Amino acid sequence: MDRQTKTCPWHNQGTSSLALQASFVLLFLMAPTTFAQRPLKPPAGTKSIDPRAEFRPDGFSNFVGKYSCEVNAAPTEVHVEDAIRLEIRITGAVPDRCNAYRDDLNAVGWIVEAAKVMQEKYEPNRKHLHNLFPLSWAKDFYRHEMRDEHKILRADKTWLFVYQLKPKHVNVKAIDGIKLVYYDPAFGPERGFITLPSDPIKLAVKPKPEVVPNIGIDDSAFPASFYEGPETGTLLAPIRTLLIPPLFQIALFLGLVPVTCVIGVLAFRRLRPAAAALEKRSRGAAAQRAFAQLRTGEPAWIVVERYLQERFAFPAVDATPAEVAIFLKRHGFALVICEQARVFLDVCDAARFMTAAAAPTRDAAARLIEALEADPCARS
Amino acid sequence: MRPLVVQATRATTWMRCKRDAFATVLLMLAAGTTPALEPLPRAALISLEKADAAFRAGVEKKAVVLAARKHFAEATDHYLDVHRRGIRSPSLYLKLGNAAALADRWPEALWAYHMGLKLDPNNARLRTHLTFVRAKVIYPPANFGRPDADTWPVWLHRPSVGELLLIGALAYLLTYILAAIAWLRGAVKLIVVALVCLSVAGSAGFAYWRSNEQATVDRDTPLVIIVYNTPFQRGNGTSYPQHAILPLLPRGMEVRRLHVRGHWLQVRLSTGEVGWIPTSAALVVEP
Repeated sequence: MDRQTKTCPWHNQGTSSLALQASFVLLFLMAPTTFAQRPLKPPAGTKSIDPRAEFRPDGFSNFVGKYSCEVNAAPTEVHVEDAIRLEIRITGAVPDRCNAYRDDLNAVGWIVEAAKVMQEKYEPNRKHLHNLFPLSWAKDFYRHEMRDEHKILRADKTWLFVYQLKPKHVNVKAIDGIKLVYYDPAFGPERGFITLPSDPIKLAVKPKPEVVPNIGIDDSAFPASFYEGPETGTLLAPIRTLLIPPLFQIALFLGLVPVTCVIGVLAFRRLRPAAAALEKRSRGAAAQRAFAQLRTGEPAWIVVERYLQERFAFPAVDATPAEVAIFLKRHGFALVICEQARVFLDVCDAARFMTAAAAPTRDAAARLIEALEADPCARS
Repeated sequence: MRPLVVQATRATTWMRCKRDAFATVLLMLAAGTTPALEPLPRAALISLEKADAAFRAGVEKKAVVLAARKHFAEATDHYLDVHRRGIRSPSLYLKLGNAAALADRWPEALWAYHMGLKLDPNNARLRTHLTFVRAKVIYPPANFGRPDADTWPVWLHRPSVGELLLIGALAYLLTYILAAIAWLRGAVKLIVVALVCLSVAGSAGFAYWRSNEQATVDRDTPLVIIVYNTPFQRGNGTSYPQHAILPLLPRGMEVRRLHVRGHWLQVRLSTGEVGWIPTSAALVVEP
């Protein structure tokens, strides 16, 4: 075993990469001179693990080492666009570092990076996995990578990659086998690219059933009334609306109503007057009746007394001239008129009870009535 | 003696006046008018039958959401076609609104319910469904643009403008009649009743004025329903910046249209924000 082998702490495959890196850093710090003076390339006898670019075939998966591949798919009887779970299980390992090295690292990088590089740069990786898939998959399947289900089992040297395939049409008869192309440094840079095809997996794809996805609806989402449309017959049911009259008609109505009411009240009162009004009207006609009676030759004192009773509701019968004067005065007549009435009735009394006295003329009675009617201050 | 022709003319004029007055009284006293039923145009009838069939198919498959929505969407399109052919009916808008709501096109449902309520403000189903669909609108934080809650009790009849006018006219008439009787009889109680009637007439007049004001607002700034989530621009173009507080208007939001410029509408939210949206994003509720 050469010197490199002795200084390879990552020789033990069971040690974690982090521990390995830490060990290397520690060694580097403790013996800087030794590692700094280390040559950039290991001694002769070791082989580079880097696959040469000029020899890389199409579809190279960027795996370095020895690998085997196993592909499983389930189910194999599906409808169009049904999901098929495809598992690609790759088993193998990156070559032992003791027998290989990388060209692109200097001494320090070689020490720090080597462990990780050895395990990660050329180990199976999902980034390069698409190179494995045949071209026919693009036209036959919808492919979906199930990243959460990928597994790396380093202890078992196994990488598990999971994909979901959905056949696009019924003419898909099989899942064409993937082609794993890896590089084995043991066979040299030119002949080390090894192709490992896997067998196709037969499929039975049936037409997609005409089934509407049965997504349950929450009945409470919409009230039942939403599903109860009105009958078509009610579509033309008339909408009862009141016509709006123009503004001038409204104004006319507003003005017409009070005027009509006032006119109505006045007309009603005229056509059906009250008892008081009738009495008042009757009193107003008392003077006319008195004049008519005077013309018939009836005694003047009788006519005047009746006039006073009808016109002013004079309560006394055969009253004295003084009583009449006082009554008229209380009714607001002028004193002159009151005196005129007293004188007139005195004359009447004289004519009635004294034979020699002259009776009052009708003109005097008429003048008295006219004076009583003409007094504006009197209360009728 | 006046010529006979003049007399005849005056008589005719008087009769016309009487006829007008009679018509006025009839209008004021009200009559609910019943428009004559006209047959539907054939094309509208066909669309209506298709819409009803699609709606029934949707109801039958209502347990399967996607299939049902497909039928309800089809029904919505046919009902919209009937609307485009000039048919205006609360029943049509109720059907249209229901179909659109079930097809998950609830901005159109909102629009349909508003259209129906314009024709029949007392349609309880239209109003209930409108409230239900309104709840689906996702308003931005702080409730920008959320319409005011309807405070009118559901059980209380919403008087139309004509009904308000009729109530006011009757109360006004009754006021004067009672006042006249009170004048004739000297009854104080009747005067109190007349004052009550006068207050009713005044209230009805005020409500009539308010209804007219609202009608004017509806005519000048009609209601607009946002069809899809729309950027709320500061100007009539996408080059203008979006509204700082409210950059996006949610679908189903109810706004008022202020102006139209090209393919853009200037709208105002219920909370006062003003901005522009493309015409294609709006459904205008015809006043």
